[in-house]
Amino acid sequence: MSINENSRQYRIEEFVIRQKPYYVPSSDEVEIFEAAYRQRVPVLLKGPTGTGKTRFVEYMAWKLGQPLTIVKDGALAAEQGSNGAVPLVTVACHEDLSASDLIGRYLLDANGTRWIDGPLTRAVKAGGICYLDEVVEARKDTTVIIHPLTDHRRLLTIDKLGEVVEAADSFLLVVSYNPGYQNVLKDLKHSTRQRFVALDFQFPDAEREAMIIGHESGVDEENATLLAKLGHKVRTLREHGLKEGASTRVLIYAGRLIKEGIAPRRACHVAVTWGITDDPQVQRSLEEVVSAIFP
Amino acid sequence: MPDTDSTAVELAPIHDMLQMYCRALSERGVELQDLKQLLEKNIGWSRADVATSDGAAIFLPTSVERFATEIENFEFLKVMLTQQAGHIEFGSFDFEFDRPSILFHDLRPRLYQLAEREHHGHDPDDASPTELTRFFRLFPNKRLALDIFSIIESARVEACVMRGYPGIAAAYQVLRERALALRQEVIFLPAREALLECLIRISLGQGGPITVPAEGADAAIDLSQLLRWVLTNDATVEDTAEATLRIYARLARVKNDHLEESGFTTIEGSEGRSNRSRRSSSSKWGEEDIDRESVLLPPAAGREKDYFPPQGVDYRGEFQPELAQLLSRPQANSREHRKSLTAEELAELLRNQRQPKRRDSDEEGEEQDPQISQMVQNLMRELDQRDPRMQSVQKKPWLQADEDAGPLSATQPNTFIYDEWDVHAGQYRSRWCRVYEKIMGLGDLTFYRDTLANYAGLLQRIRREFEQVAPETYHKEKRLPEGTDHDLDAAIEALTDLRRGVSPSEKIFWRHHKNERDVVVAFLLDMSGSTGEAIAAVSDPAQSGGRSASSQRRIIDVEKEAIVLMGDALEAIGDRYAVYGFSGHGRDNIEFYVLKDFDEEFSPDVAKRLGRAGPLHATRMGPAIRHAASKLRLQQTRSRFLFLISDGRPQDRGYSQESTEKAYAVQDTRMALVEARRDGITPFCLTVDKEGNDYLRAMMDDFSYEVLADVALLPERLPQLYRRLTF
Repeated sequence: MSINENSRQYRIEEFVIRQKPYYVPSSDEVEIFEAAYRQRVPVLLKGPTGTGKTRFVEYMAWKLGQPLTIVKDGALAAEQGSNGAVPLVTVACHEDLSASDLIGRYLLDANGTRWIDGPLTRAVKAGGICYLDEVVEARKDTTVIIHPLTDHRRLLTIDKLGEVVEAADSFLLVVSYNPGYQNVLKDLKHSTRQRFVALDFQFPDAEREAMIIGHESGVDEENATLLAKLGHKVRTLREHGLKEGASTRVLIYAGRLIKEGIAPRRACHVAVTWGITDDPQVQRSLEEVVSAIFP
Repeated sequence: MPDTDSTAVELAPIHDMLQMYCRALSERGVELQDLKQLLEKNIGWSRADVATSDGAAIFLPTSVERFATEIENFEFLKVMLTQQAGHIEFGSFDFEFDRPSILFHDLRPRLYQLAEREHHGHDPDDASPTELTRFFRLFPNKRLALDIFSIIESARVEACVMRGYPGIAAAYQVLRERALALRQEVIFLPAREALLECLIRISLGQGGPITVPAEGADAAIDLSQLLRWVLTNDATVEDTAEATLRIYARLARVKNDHLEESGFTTIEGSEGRSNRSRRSSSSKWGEEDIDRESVLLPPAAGREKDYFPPQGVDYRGEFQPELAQLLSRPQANSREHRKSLTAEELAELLRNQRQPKRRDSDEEGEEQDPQISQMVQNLMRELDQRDPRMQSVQKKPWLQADEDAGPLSATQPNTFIYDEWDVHAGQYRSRWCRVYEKIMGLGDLTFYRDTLANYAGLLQRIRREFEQVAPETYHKEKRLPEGTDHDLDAAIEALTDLRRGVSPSEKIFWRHHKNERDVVVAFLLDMSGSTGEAIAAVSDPAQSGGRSASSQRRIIDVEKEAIVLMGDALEAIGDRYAVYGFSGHGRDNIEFYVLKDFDEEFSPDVAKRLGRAGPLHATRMGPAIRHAASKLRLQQTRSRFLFLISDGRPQDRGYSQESTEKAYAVQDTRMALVEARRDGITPFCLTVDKEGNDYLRAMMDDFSYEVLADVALLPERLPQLYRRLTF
């Protein structure tokens, strides 16, 4: 099997975002993040899924002049951006995420043991932005690690090495969480949440959303407007039997399918209706809304 | 036997689906109801075949069968519903007299001043029941004004809907063409009515030549320009009002005489458009109207009796904006305001809305009054019902005689008050039921021990089945000092630490954590008197696990046995559960017994309570379900189940419209279950009533109930069902 010539591999520190990420601000979140960064105040991004939180962080990392490193599955090589620029390290948190996943661990190899830094430690040492996505999902003992990083000490303790790392000057911690997944057991404790300034991400208004959908999917203006309208109507139903509204992301998916020539109603079924509910009656209602909006 | 060839579309099966649809469109929590319920109230609505709205709810006919295919019938229903949702979304009922329009220079303030003068200082809007009434009072001939307003407003909403929802525009178009084909011939109409007909046809999109009275051709062109002005821009309901004023001014002057065919000519349906572009470049219409010397609206020429309202457009439904405003604007309906609202004013309002049935009958005057005054009474009663402050002194005439109407209060500890759903009124009776929560008294352990002995074989089988539950439902708890097996990640880390010379962690094991199943279930036992009935002769002992025969077992005993077995199984897998029982008599005395609560461990006391439980009184299911749900709601788990075990339909004193009516109790129970589902609780009903299918289908979603053929199988069946539903 030959390797596809189009796929390339980078060392993480060589991967740089060359283009400005597309992000349409809804209010003053850009200014606030910049101010928070200058003051090294940690930031919490709150909001439902698909409202642009991760895209916002990428945009800010670019804007603050940083090259970007994306981390997948906790595997991470050392990185230093060029010109002393600060990397962005993203960690997707889940309930098995342990302290050593973040801080680092000893590995066994042929020659004995070798310590490797985890993504958090790397970001702390390199002076990057460490973005913990869905921080609430992580185990309780993990979230406590970040406490000393978020106050004036800006310290990371590595028990196994018996070391304490002072964060590089340009280090900043950013976390995100979705308050909609209401599970009391997994809520953010106040001792944690009050260490951040919070930016609230909501679904954009119809006009802005149409713009975003149009740009991200390449679909024509009329369909983008109708897709935004669909999103808006569906979100109204959150009080009437729908657990979660339609995210901008699924509307973009629908737009992409439409651009490829899929009939709009069908695109909305597969991208929106079937994705957000399994209840046949609710699906039928949504299909009726879709067919009222799209010819 | 359902008629599979029927092409009629019934509202009931698709009610919830359509309700969600119109809530999405109108972005409000509108209720969707059967038109029958509105007509029964007899408060001014009369048509039974088309949709309407009272501002807060939308009413659809029980079924639609005017077309040959099911699809066409559904499309018709959907268009009607969309139109009514459109009235709500685009503000037809939000009209305010003082709010400026967008497309016109407003005549209303000027006319209002003039009207004030006419009334010699008497405040003309004294006790105007609604904003629209205030508006219509500007017109000498209210009937004509109302007809014009209805046409323009319906057309405005239709245009907004077709613009905003291109998907359904095609369906609208089909219905428009059909409506045009069914319109009466213009030449048979008298002059003024013919001009109105012209307006309607333009609103339906008739493009080619339109027949109009020759003498009124200029007026017709003006009218069509006004209409198009409103339709092609984003107009509001206040714009409709302003257009109505101008159209009325022109129409009122036209004598409503019958004409010969030669008295007609045609104008182009599209003519209005080209003329409009010639008009002023300003974005508003009608600057010159204001400057006229006298803006007073003229009375309609000719006899009032000779004017007959135009033929309606079916898919646009019945539009009663004034009534809707009256019913849906609670601030305007404060008791104080309503005290000054006389029956006469309401009668006037209703009289003007009435559609005379036949042209040639003498419809006016005294003959209508008895019907009108009945409607006025009904209307006042309806207004009272909608005013929350009135609810406390409400008398429900059709309650059983000695029922003390009125809300209840909870004065003793452990009493709870719940609303009850009245399906016939379409609303809740607030604070209607009182539930007394008690802990079941202690009996002895005989029952429990006997059950365990009699069902020994079945018990073992059930326990084994439960323990074999798929591994994924067990959560792996890692990094423990002891457990089932080594946690490899942790073990390797420990070894590397060891090599490093660092003291390793001892937490290198994992185990299944059975409590992570995150399921909580409440069993709600029907303890009504009927459960004291003995069950039929017992089934094959071998089948029921070696139990010895006993013919004196009652239904309640079987229910209790099922709970014992269920409880044993639950202890094995660690699900948290509660056991409740209910009965009671009357709405002020529902008895709710706690046999085992969630956080209680199974103990001899629980077994003794089970032993004590016995048949009691009636079966008012609604409040019992609501109370059980309120307890479930407090449990913070992902899955919450409510198992209702019953032997018959819900019934109780006062739990019906008259003694034999059944729907009330079933619908209230249904509503209680809907409320529970909304809070993330999954209900299931297991009944031993062979007739259960009849009412359970109405009470619950299709698959969330089971009717047991053989009562004696309950102890075996319950755990099976539980496994199926919660694993």
